[in-house]
Amino acid sequence: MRPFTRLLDLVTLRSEKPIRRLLAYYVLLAAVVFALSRFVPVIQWVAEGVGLAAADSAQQLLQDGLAGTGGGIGEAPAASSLELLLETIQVMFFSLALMLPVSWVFMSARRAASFDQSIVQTLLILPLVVAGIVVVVQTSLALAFSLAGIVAALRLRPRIRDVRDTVYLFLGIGVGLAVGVHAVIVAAVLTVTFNVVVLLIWRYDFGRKVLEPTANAQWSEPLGDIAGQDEENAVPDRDLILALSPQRAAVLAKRFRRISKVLGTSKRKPRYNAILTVTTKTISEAQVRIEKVLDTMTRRWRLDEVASHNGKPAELYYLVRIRKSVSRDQFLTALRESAGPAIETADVEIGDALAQEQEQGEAA
Amino acid sequence: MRPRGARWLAWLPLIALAGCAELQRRDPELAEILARREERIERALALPDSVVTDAPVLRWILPDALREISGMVLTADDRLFVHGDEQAMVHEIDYRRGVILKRFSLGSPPVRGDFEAIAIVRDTMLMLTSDGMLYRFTEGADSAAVPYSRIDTGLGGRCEFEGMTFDPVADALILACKNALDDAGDDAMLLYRWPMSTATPAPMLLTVPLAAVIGTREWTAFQPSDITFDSRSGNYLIVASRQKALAAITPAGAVMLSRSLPPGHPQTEGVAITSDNLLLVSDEATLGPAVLTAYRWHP
Repeated sequence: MRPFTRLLDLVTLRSEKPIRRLLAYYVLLAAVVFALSRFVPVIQWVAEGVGLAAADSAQQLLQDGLAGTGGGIGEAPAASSLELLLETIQVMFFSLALMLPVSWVFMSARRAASFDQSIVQTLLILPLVVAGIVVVVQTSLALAFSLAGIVAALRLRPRIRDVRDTVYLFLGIGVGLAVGVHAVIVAAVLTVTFNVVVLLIWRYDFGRKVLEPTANAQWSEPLGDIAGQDEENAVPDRDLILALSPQRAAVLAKRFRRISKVLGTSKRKPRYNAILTVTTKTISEAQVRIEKVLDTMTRRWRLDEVASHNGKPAELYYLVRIRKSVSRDQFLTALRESAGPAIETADVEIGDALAQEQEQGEAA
Repeated sequence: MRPRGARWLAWLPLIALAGCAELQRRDPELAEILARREERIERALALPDSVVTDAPVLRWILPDALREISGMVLTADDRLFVHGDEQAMVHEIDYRRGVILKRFSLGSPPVRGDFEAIAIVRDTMLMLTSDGMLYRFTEGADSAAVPYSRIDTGLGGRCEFEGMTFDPVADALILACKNALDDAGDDAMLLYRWPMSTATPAPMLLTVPLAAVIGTREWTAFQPSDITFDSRSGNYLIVASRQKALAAITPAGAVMLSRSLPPGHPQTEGVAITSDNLLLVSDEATLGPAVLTAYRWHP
């Protein structure tokens, strides 16, 4: 694909704008089809919606309607194997060529949360299958009914979460049908219009209620507060500030509320008063060393979560109740001395409840 | 080194060569098929009358371009011209061998309209729209766009027309009215005569009582979808798509024949009689493709 990508870069002057690249693709495709149709006439016939038999010459042989009813002596031959092969290859080519940009648009314009790779693959495969079926069925009513029966028996009931994904699949079916009946122009106009409209809708966030803030705006302020760097309001999960979608932020908020509940802000004395966050590449070794320190310097502790990351150090979260006689610095120093190279970073977030107690103690 | 992505391009010349070779290979086969078809029609016409049934002699499946075949007409030398419904594209068909010989259009791009019938008056062709507009032109070469002129019969307010033929005896076009737009057609089938010999023709109405056309059949109406002139008997032969019926009437309006069409005619839109006594019937595509059927005809 690299030469093709380079060609697109050349035509679009290395522009990254999706609409420019999309239009460049269509221009190139049209140029290729036009050039090929000069040398391979059958391509022109398929592209213009003319059957191979019809395009044979000005003298078009009609199919004999009495064949098989006992009256036929001479019968027009069905399309030869080679004709059928050429026709099918072209139908497959046009299906793929027209659906490729649709899959690009799908990948670009879908939100990460609702993106489904299987749909992208289906977008390329589905029209091929539909077009192939149309080539087989053609105008045969009997075959069409047989196909309907088979499809009904298969009970294809895909679960699609987003209605817009269904529209993409409908488009795939439409393109497959159009190409299958040699209406390539219709399929081309359909996909070009679809892609441009989808990109514009995506670009301008069409349909958003103007009085409601965007997901980004809705979450940025509270997330900023939560993820502040000041001592009183710091949270260990830095991923929170990266959350731009309400769904993802909701998941993180849920986690935060759980931890917050454990640490507590109520008058009742919480079981734990701090969170110990450790990053390490050797989880087992680090655990043994950390837990030795926890046994001696805390009244109680609990391993709350182990978050593994591919290619990055794992994170260990401990809920701890540090003894009153142990300061934060003493605790961290002991931890680093014990764990040594087994851990990369260590941090302790003191909960509000302990802070309040400390404040009360100082005031007294 | 050639890029990997361009390797498939090497197949294109092979595909092109294969396509050209395949088309050349078909020519001898075509000639053989056409000869066999010609032989078949000769054999069917040579059968004695006593074995004739409603079985068709020929049936050609028409291409998509003619799926809305709407009218047809024969020249004096038995060349068949047909046209579609929505645009003025005329096709010449060799009905004996099942070949489309040529196609030409009225204007470029072809003029659009609700074309319902075609007739030939000496060296001129005429097409009729459902609102009574005549398009006058001469036969064109293959793929040509011929010039045309329009004549308003002024009958559009009275009838929705579906058929037209030329009566050489009366030297007039006969326009068959499918649905009358006034009270005149309540109990009658209406035909209009449009004289071709006068500069300012005045249409004449021919009324045929429906009761006479229907007879004892269970039809409740008779709505012509095409009409043709039978040069042997001098009668008009009319087909009705909705009733799937066929009727022959004299130029004076007397009903000579009224019967159902043979089975296999879902939507008959055209009728013509050849000089060697074949009745040609064309049907628009409905559930199946459009077809052109030929029967032996013995008035």
